[in-house]
Amino acid sequence: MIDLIDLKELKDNFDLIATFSLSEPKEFVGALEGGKEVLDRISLVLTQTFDAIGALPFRQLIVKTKDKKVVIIYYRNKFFGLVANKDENVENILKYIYEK
Amino acid sequence: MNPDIPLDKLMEDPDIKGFALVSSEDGSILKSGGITPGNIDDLVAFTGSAAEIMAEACQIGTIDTVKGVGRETLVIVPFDKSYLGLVLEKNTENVEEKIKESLGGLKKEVDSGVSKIFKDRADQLNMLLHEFVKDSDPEMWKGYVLSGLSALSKEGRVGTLIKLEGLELSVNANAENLDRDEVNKFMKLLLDFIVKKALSEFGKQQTKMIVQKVIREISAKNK
Repeated sequence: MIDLIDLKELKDNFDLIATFSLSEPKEFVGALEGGKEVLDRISLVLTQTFDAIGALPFRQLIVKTKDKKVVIIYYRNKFFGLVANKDENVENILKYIYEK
Repeated sequence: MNPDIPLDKLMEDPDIKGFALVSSEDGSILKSGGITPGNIDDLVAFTGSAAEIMAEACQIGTIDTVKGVGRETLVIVPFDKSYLGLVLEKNTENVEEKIKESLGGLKKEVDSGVSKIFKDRADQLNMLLHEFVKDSDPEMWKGYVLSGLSALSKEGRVGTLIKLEGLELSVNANAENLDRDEVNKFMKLLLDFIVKKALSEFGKQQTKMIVQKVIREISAKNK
């Protein structure tokens, strides 16, 4: 649970591959091979990137590949994210989160 | 991506405010147009490379597009050694797909031997490291590069073919078994990792001067 966002509920509601929190305590639900090590890597690279840019440039970051996507969301001073199939509608997920 | 490609045509799309084609190797702007933030080079290069690491960490394949939504809506499309960043008027679902389609006709640069590319990239990183170490602690750099190699080597074969001896990167001849994109991607991520450390050690201005010095040396060597 991250504030009002329940990772399991979010994953199940949208049939996502995985949901995760990058803020402490780092946790994930679903199929994230590598588990917390993956979260540490993502967290490190985001920290480095924002340090290098000198600001928090985005509240959402959507990385798409051929058939999947990773979404990083900054919400209520915390970072969390999800892995989904490419055709998953991110707007619906964000709407769900922001309306919680 | 060849900077001679008529990217100015992108500005005919009313949804695009501006664009910047940024080298993923040194973060320099190769071409730009329209209205872009002052730090568009950093935004595009750092966000692009971060996205590549995230996709690799989550094992979802090679990135097609990256979209950042914040003060600006920015779509980044990786292409060979560059990132094309487009600043959009507004964010809509799947706008990045539309942009990718409009870039469909662009062609990749001519390929060359992967082994040579691998070795050349390692030589270039060695030149850069040599410069960074001059005014800094070699042991700190050694530890940092080793941690970078370790972090980046979790997946893929390239990481198993490169090692650090002293402060010199050396590559294994088995690189012939790899494909060019795989080598380019790994070496670019390693370069970004090293440059980010330099930014925190020396600041942006000095780091850029050092990187540009090395680029000049590389250009002179290649003449």
